[in-house]
Amino acid sequence: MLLMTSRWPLRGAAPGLFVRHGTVPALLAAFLAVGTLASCTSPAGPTSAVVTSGGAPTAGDVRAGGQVAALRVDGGYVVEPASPSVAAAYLTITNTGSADDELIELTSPEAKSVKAMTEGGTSGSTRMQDLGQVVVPAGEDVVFTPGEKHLMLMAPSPRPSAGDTVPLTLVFRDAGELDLQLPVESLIGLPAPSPDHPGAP
Amino acid sequence: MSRRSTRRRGGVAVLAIALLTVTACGQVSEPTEGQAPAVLSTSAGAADEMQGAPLAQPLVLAGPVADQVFQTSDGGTTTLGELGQGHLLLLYFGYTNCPDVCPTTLATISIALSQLPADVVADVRVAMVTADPERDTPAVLADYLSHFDGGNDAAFVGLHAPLAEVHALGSALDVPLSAPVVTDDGTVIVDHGAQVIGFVDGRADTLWLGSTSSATYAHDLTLLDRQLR
Repeated sequence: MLLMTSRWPLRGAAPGLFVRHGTVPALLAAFLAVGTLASCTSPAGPTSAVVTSGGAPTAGDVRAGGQVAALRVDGGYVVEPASPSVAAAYLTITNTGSADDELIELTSPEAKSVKAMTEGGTSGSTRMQDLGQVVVPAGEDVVFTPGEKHLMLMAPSPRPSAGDTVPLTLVFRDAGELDLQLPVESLIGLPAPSPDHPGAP
Repeated sequence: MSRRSTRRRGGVAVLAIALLTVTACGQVSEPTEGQAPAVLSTSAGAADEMQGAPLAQPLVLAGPVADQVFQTSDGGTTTLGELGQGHLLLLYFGYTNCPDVCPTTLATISIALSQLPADVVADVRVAMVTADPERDTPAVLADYLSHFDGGNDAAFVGLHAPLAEVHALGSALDVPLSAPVVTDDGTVIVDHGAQVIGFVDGRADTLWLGSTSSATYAHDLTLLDRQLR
């Protein structure tokens, strides 16, 4: 859930300029602690924490998953969109095999298009970028989670509402197709960063 | 507000590098004070310290920043000076075609407000200035923000002004904004600063970055509300 921090403008920033009523030592200490806490045990950590500690997803706690060949998908869901034009889906892809694979296509009969996007950028702003085809390295996870990588559903129709499901097909270059029914979760039960891992990946 | 009328520019820029760290994962994590889990869950000890990012210099709603007139999502007009006076004003720049970062930020704030006492919530206003005024008309903003108010009493308000004026405001508040780009398939992309600036009666000493948790907002808003009284 760390996102825009990397895009924050650090123009003229220098540790020596950071003076605020003598809080620097405390901040640095807290900072080091956070750095420790944020060590990357697993990208799925915050996501799974969110499932249990987040608001109250009206779709319940069951998120969608499935497997095709060596590719497994867990924790799939759509967030009820505030905009009629676009929605976001999140999930984790795990490649349990010994060869890299690639997510080459995303489709849904209930969206004009589905694309893998990420938030990146420079100069202090966040920029949404099209990931195109996404490599899923052997033995690794690719995590789509709020504020980072996400699956963008353009012009979703019907408009997803909490409690609904949205069909999504992931096409992997080698493993083939995986069909999922993603539950739609309440917007303001939207997963927030876990309090225990405020800046964790 | 008069004693705070000095308009400061560039105040946000000096966020210490020490505030940001690269974790072992090669990603930057948000540092916040007192973020040890044991501290967050109760109000003991470091609970009196703000967890958002402190501004090296305050941002003050004065001059053009305070007086810029916006159309609001409820059909009227207002200014940041008016919204901020006597309130906690959380100011965010976003756009409704933003599928991920913007709704995540607004929903996180909404969840935080749902956890706070009504008297605190009554002091809070959440304002989203659209960075895409061509598509985000006041009516579009109204529909969009209605998904976030969640039955609590927070006043979520959408603010609409011509793009040049929005960019001037962003510049004055050190929020980077670029012009909207629409790709062939209709994707709307607007590079935008993702921070939320927290004004207490027109003066901000804190901002929150995009990864901020609802617990951090709830904690900090409680503290800021004491300043208001």
